[in-house]
Amino acid sequence: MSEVDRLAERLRDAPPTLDDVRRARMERAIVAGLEDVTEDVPSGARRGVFVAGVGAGLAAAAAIALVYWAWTPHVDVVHAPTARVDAMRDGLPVRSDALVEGSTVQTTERQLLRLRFGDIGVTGEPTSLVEVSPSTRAVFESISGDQHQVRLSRGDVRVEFHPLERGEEGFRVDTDHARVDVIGTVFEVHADEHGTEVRVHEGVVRVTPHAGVARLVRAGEQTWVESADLGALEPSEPLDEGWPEPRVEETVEVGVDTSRARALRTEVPPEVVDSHDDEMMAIDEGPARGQASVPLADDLRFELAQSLFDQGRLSTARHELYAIARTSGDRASRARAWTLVAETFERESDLARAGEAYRRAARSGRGSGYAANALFALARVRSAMGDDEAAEAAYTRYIQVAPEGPLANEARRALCRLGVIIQCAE
Amino acid sequence: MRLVDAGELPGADEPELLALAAAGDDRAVRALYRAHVDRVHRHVARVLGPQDPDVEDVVQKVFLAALDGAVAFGGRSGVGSWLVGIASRRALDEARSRWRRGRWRRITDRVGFGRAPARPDERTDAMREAEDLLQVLHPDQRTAFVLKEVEGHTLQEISDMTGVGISTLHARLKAARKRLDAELDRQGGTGE
Repeated sequence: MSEVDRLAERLRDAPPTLDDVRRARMERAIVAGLEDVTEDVPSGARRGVFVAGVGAGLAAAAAIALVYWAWTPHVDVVHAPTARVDAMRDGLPVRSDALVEGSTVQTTERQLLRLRFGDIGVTGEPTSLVEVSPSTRAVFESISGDQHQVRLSRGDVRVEFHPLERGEEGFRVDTDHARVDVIGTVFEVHADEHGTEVRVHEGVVRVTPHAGVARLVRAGEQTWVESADLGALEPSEPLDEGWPEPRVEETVEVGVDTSRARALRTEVPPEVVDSHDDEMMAIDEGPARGQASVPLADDLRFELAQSLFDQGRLSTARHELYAIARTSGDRASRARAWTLVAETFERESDLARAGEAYRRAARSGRGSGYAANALFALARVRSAMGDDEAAEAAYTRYIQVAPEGPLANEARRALCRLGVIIQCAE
Repeated sequence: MRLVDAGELPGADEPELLALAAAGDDRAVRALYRAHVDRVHRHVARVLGPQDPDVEDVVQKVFLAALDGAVAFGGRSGVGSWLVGIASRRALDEARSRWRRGRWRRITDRVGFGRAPARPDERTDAMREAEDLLQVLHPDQRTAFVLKEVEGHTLQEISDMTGVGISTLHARLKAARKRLDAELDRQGGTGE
């Protein structure tokens, strides 16, 4: 075997490899590129006219630009990239402003911020949404161009990243322990002095510990990064507790350190809303809610949520519904909101979370028709999950609260099937 | 614009998949891409060099060109071979253009200035040396060598893929081997 043959053998034995991140990045670019091609390429029949038109147009534009340049005083205007930021209380925006690239955001235990990046004015929809939860400090190092970058010192951020130019835009979160690279996804990062936790809801992220090897974390998985390594992957917790969990119970005070350019300075007068603890169960006891300074009718929110639901934007719809569930002063509205939340999970075939949301609907709207129906739905879901005992309890409860309800006979038949009612009518 | 799973496309064979993809079916595009990207990437990376920053760009262009020109797929070979043919031409275009741009650098390298000598510990990786050796070949010779000697295609297959005549391929292959032999001798002679 000659030296050249040995060289060929070496090359054969170690072919160039393609890692998952690059593979996914190219796939996104190709799909996006195909869409661009199908939308932008002029037809062959018109190409001659198109080119000629471009030539004439360019000449005219050059002439106009020359005249304009000669007569216009020259002022260099630098537009600092900005994001829209909404200060939230109980899931509702109480203040909006612009956040300049490079700004530091620091929330107290009662604050929640929602930042929208991207060409909102062009597309009507942000490409990225970052929610900064209470007790969080984050620096928005880059919020423009192809790369968005957030440095998270402590606390939680939730990111929804849906780039317009797939494969060409990136989103990255840096913590003291790891770097999280995103490929079109929805995920949460929590950082504290012990480490960094990453939970992925959609898509894939790459987590690279500062001391350790990179690893892909896919939808439904979460991982924990300590100072020196990556924790084992494990499934996400069974119930999405409706993140962001607004532990915003009394006031909203937004403080943003701005080291550059415009600052976001928002002061909302303290306003006692509710002194219950921050657990979801507090929803059950909500008579004093609904005192937001920017009231938005529940009907409008339901309409928005329904629209999002119809578009298949289930996660975003849930955000709106969570807001209603936590803020509405009306038990029926809260029950309806939780019911719709449950339906979004059912649509995603996530029966466990759907069941939990139905349970909340039943509890939060006691006495309303929605609550009764939620009990029936809960029973149906539990039955589908094979949990006959829970299904039996929910059907029984439905019959107790709505003995003449529209689904009472159906519930009784179900109890017959489960063997709870012995003497069943044929 | 959200990412979706490619999902299954039951019953679709490769030409059908290509037609569906060319018609804009996202799932078909993804399925086609996932089935062939490794092979296409490997080929492009071998022609341009695995560390080349334009490899991804060329791979993307290969798939987009294939989808744009799907009607040209005659079915004489498999879709995979057809894609490798496109990859060969695209990678060659890129490599030739770079080869032209790099003439001055190669001249300065040869006469001993313009590039700092590498430290021995950076050059111990045998694979890296093998890849670097390929870069001394002209892109046409490199492609012929990679397809024949590394990927194991016959000259007829390479001719079908690249549109280059068998005798020309044979000549390029011979020239490539001669050039590599000389380079290996030179490296052995200089103690590398």
